[in-house]
Amino acid sequence: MNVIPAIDIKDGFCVQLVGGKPGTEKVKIENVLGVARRWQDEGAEMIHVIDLDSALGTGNNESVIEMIAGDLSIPVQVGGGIRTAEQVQRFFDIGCERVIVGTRAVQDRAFVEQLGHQYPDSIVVALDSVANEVVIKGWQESSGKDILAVAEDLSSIPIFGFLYTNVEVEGRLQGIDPVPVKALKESTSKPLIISGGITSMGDLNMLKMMGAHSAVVGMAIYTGKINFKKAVREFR
Amino acid sequence: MKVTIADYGVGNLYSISKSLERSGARTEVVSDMKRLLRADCIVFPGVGAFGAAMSSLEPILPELRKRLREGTPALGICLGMQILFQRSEESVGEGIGVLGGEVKKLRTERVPQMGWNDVVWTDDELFSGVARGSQFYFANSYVCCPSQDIGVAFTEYGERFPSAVRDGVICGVQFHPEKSTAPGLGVLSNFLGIAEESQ
Repeated sequence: MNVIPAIDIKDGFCVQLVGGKPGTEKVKIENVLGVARRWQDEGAEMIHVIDLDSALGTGNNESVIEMIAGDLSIPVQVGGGIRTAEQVQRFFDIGCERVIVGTRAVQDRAFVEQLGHQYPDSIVVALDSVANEVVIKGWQESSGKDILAVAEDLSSIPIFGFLYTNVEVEGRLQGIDPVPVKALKESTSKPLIISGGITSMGDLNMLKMMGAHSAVVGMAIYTGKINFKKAVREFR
Repeated sequence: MKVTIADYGVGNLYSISKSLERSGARTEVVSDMKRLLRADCIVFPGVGAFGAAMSSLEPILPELRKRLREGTPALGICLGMQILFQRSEESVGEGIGVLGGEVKKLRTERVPQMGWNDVVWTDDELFSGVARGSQFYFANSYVCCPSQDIGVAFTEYGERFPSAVRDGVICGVQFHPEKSTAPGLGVLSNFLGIAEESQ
């Protein structure tokens, strides 16, 4: 299982929010590239970059992401407010390896199908959920769709896999809820990238046992709850 | 050493040029393929498709082959490695053909291969000083099947394939050294060493 560090960008800063809500910054670092380089130096095999401004409709940080993708010598997975084929293309053009689509992917199957065939195994569909329901638009709205049904439906498309974020536990450092992860694992054979609430080596171990492909860690590595260097080695 | 990077018109070449610079080279990225004919050392990067890359090289193909056969050092990365061979299942038309053999689709269900994988290498200068057991980053659906014994490293993904080849100063790697941290930079710097020795 890959342990992947998260870099969430808001107003050009690397931040960590609680439950994705603006104004709840627990971490705010100006030197985003410095942070990315630090995780790379500590052994990261990939970096997970999310543009929170783009997700929340308050601007975008594409120039910062381009700088990160160009500078690092590891692959970059990027997401946050990506809703058009042009945006997807742009991120591949600047050297990103995987592009995450959320909102539009959940609402528009044809869009996922088109992207999946155009960039096989390089598109990640984000399934962000509260209870069993997929939430969209920077976690501000409910889609009214059941997460397992969406996963099952999209599994036949040549996407890389799913990014599952449990919004209820995101950024709270209280550990993961294994029940929905297990249910999701049973509804798809695609790789699962799990994020939200991972707080301890125990959480990582549980995800590994459940067969997660990758675990995205954010708050826990910025606050020192998880020693990233140690975690990435142990689960490699 | 100045390295000329071929820009077939797709993808970002910043990370490969920066990695080469970190390994001690000066770099230039050229979209006018004629400039490859004056290069001291060429890198064919791993972006795009076989047919598209070859059609941008097509106008200079006879002279390019001649330059490479006369000893201009070259490194092909991923797709850039594949176009050094004679042909590919990916597209009709010929490759540069300075290496004998062809490119075939990986015979496994899960293609492309996307991610870190093991590379086991022989005692070759291209891997000199690189820590045994290092993994490298791959993103490929096709692999090279050389007709000669030029494989210097091998990887398993549904089948065993050469993840690095070397015929004198012509080198190819199926992984992306520019996305493989220190081991990748090690391979790039060894390639530069091979190129410099030949000058």
